[in-house]
Amino acid sequence: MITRGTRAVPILFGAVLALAACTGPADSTSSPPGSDAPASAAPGSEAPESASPSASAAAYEGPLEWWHLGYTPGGDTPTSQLVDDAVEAYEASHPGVDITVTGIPFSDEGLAQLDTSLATDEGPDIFRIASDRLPNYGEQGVLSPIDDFMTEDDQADILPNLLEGVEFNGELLAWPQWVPPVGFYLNNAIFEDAGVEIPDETWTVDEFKQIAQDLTSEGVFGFATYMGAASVNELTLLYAEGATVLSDDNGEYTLNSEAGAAGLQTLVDLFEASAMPPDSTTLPLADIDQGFIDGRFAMITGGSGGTAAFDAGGIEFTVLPPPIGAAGETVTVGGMGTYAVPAKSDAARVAAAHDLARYLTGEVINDVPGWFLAPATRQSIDVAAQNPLMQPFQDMLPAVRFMPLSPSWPEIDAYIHPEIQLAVAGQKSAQQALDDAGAQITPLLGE
Amino acid sequence: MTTTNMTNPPEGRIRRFWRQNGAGYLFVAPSLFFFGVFIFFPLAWSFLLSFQDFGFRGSEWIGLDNYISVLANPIFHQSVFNTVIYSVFTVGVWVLVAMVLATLIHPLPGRVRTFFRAAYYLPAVTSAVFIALVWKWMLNANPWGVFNYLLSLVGVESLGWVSDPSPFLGSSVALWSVILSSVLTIPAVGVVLYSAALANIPRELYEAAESEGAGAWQKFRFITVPLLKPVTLYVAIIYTIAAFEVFERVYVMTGGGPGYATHTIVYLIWRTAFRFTDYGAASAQAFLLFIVIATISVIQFRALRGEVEY
Repeated sequence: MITRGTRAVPILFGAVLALAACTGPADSTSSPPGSDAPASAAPGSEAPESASPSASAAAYEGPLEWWHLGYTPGGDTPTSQLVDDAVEAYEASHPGVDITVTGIPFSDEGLAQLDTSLATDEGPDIFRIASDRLPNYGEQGVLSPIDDFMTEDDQADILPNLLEGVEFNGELLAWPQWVPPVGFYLNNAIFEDAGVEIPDETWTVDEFKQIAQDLTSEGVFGFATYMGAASVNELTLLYAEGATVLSDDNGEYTLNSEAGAAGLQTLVDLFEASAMPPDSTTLPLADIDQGFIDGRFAMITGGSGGTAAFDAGGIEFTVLPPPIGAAGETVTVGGMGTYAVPAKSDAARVAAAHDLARYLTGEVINDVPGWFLAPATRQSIDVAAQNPLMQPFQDMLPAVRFMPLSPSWPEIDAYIHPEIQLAVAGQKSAQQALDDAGAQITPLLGE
Repeated sequence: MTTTNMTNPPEGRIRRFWRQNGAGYLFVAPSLFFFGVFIFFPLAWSFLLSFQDFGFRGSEWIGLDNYISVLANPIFHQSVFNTVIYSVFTVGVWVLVAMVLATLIHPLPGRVRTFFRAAYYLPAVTSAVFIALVWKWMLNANPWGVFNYLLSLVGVESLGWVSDPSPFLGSSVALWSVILSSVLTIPAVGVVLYSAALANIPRELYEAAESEGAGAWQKFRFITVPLLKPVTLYVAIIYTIAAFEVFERVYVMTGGGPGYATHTIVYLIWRTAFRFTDYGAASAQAFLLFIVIATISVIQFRALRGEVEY
């Protein structure tokens, strides 16, 4: 018996492999177990019928499921308290709407949980997401585009270049909420101790390099930046030289241009000059922020979200846009926070979710002061008027370059950072590292 | 009568079988249910997924494409290489250290022996993430890292440890640093298993050897080691599986970097599944890992199996 069973295993395994080798016809799509999605919702095909433009959100009475990254029930964190306040205000003005907020971890696993839920018709009605993940959702047709739900007022209010940041295949996939550009945080005390004058926003890359080295002393490194995946912080110095990751049509990898190599060389030079910490290649984002608070790093890169923590830490700091390089003007990079609405069969519910999304990206400012933790995408909302710490970031908005809206962005991003780490560690030249990243990325662009 | 003869015997067999075995099956039914739902079903589904291009609302059957692309991916090759280097050294050291430690504490008085067993078992009940965090700070590349501080006491310059991808002994400084952190963590389960096995070795064998003039090393070499062979086989297999599945240590200490210096197979599976949302390719990687582990386990089993008689 045991012998027969043992022999049966490789036979069965071989049979499955042989069966697998026979690639099925192109239309042989299968729904994942547990999914009742119709076959028409397969990749490349159209999404389930979305809510009609005429559907009235005002008529909707019922539940709405809102998934929020990092939310914890009971207002345990400042962000959670803001969410609770927003829910309370919206429900007060929309009797009959019952919003349930579900927190998901702010991590890759949390995002995977969200992705899995989108495979069904039972997932969230609305969720907050960074714009760089939208193309993947758009390609799979799991979102309800906002085009039919935007009013003329919305279109006039949202900055046009920011609307482009949510456009994919001719559709606007989500409601833009805010833009946290990457800025340079300067620790005023370290500048003062070193006798170095704090520059203004016209500073150049050469000046930045010199300042970083001048600030470096016993226990203090002039500059630190995160080089890990799912972040674009260190790319600011490459973009400052005029580099971009992909060409305008997203069809060609361009980071290995002369400008890109020059930008990366700035990081390499600073690391070689010991103006950056020796563990720069593996330094986590949280450690960089903590190092800035502790006075170990004189200058760091970061989004507007850091202002609250640094301010609470009692740090006197200055925020500047990235230094000006060969691009000849201030250039920074950033993402965009958006609210997306999944496509569902219940048209009224989808319309109600869009109405909530519109509220959360605009009117909410009247009910929940402090809701915006980064510059808003609407011209009517002056976040800096409420929070002066946001002013430098708000001023950077015209200089923001978004990462390419490509469904392959997570892979592209993941191939860039390891090569940058290897260049900084001296294992490859800047040009070679960017070329090697391109060798991995270019095949993705043809998919 | 004929009809009755045609239908009754099967019913009789079923009833007889149920009467004889029903209670047993009822007892194991809950366990089988949970095994089916939480182990077998996900396993079977991920096996099917490995032949599909995963989509949120429908996946496309693509045959062996996932396996072909994974096997052609240089990052997968690097991850396999790193995992093999990590496993060979950690398993070898873990087995040896566990056996030696168990042998050293075995002759100790009862309470002292219990103390050491408990102390050595502590790592097994401590969060792996916590242990990795501690090691990360001990191996910090800055001068205030514990290891760099110790080096400074003897006049040696600071090392990059887990942040340094420089080539070293066929791999990288970063990977060897991760290996160092693993081998310096006491192999708790092995110590306990060897301790239990040592208690079962008849004392008379050692007494007979002593009467023949055997020293401590000879007793260890010719009595202890051979008689511990079954436990060694088991320990080697479970440690090999654990080593090939190393993840949290890499995730916490290096994030797979610098570059791809500490990418391991499971880290790559995690990255492919949860960062790229490519569950098909991740499943293919997982089943390739399964084949590697199964093959090595069979080889170990055949190399170390053998009858042991006391």
